Amino acid sequence: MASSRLPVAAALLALAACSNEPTAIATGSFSVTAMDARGVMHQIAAHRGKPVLVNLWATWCPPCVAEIPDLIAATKGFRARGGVVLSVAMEQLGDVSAEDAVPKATAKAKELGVDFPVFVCTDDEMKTIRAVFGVEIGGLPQTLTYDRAGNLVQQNEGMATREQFETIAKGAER
Amino acid sequence: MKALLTTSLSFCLAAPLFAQEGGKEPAKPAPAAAEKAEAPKKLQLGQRLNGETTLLDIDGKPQNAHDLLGTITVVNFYSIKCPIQAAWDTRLALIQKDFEGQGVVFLHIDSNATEIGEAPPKVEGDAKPYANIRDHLKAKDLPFRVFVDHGNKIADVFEAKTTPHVYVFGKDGRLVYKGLVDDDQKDRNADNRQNHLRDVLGKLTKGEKVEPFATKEEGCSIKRTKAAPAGADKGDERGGKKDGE
Repeated sequence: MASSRLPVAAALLALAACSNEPTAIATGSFSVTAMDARGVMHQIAAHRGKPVLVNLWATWCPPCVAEIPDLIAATKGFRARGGVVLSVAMEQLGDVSAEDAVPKATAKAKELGVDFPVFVCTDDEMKTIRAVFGVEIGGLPQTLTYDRAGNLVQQNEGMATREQFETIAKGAER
Repeated sequence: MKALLTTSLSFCLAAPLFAQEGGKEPAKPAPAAAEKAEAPKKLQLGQRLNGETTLLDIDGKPQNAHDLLGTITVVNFYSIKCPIQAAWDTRLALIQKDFEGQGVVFLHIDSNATEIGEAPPKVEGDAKPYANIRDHLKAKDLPFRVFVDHGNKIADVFEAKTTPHVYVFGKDGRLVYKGLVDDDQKDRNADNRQNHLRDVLGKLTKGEKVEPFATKEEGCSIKRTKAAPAGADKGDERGGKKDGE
């Protein structure tokens, strides 16, 4: 588990001006919105003042799918205390087409019982996503946490357990 | 040279696989040896590997590293299901084709529990295990020699995180590169991409010195076998099966 502090909030707001207009779908318990990585960073920045946990996943990534029930369960308290969980589906990093990305992510999120916002990232190359996020993202899943000031405080690479998610969430609240 | 590499490129996987292959109970290791096996040394840039000397091929046969290694060796952590690996398959096969004749050996290792299972499968008669890997290579016409890594022991020694994740051992058996095949995942920038693997192999085959370096890997996380916490019933398998894997 790597940990670092990067001032990103100001940069994120600047980036937001460049992002594409998102397409949103409302479902029963969560929303699904397609946007590029810059748009995702804008969403993170928009929650400044609250701790934010960002989970990067994809429907074609078995460990990503496997950890989501634990993510949901482990962050209930965190969310109840004002923390924010954002889910970012990196469908097009794999071989999912732009057309199929939102339906696939929506169906899987619904099946898993996701109850927080889902963003479907329209960027399809890891190096683009890395450059925008300012984080050395390797494989999926990844969980990034940002403190109330918008600083990245933790990067968890790979699948996490419920207990690990609880620890990660607590780290963002400090 | 080969002797140097043989002692260096070796894995802790060997002993239990040999034992299971023959259907015999493995000899119980001495306590000290067992403790040692539980904490294999992690491979660092500039280092050689230490340990046993066997890999399991997709026919289920243990192979001695003596017979596998070349003057220069490329190890790639592989997946038959990862779309990011698939994006690099053709380029990786081309690099392999270009360098195999120059003494470079390519070994592809599948450590994904969701693809190979947690333990070597039992096969009867002339049946061969790992049909999924064999079928995949045939369908895509890939010349990859794939080995399997049950329990991700090799992946753990290498600290391999994704598929693909490439490692290059130079003529002295030391690890000189780990990371990407190139920096062009989607194959859109052939004229301007950083061809890390090809460039390293080009230098090594010409006898040029390569200072050990790494690039950040990109790919699907290796689906490791996880020891389930007491009382818990979860792990990679759950998601894999749900996802049709």
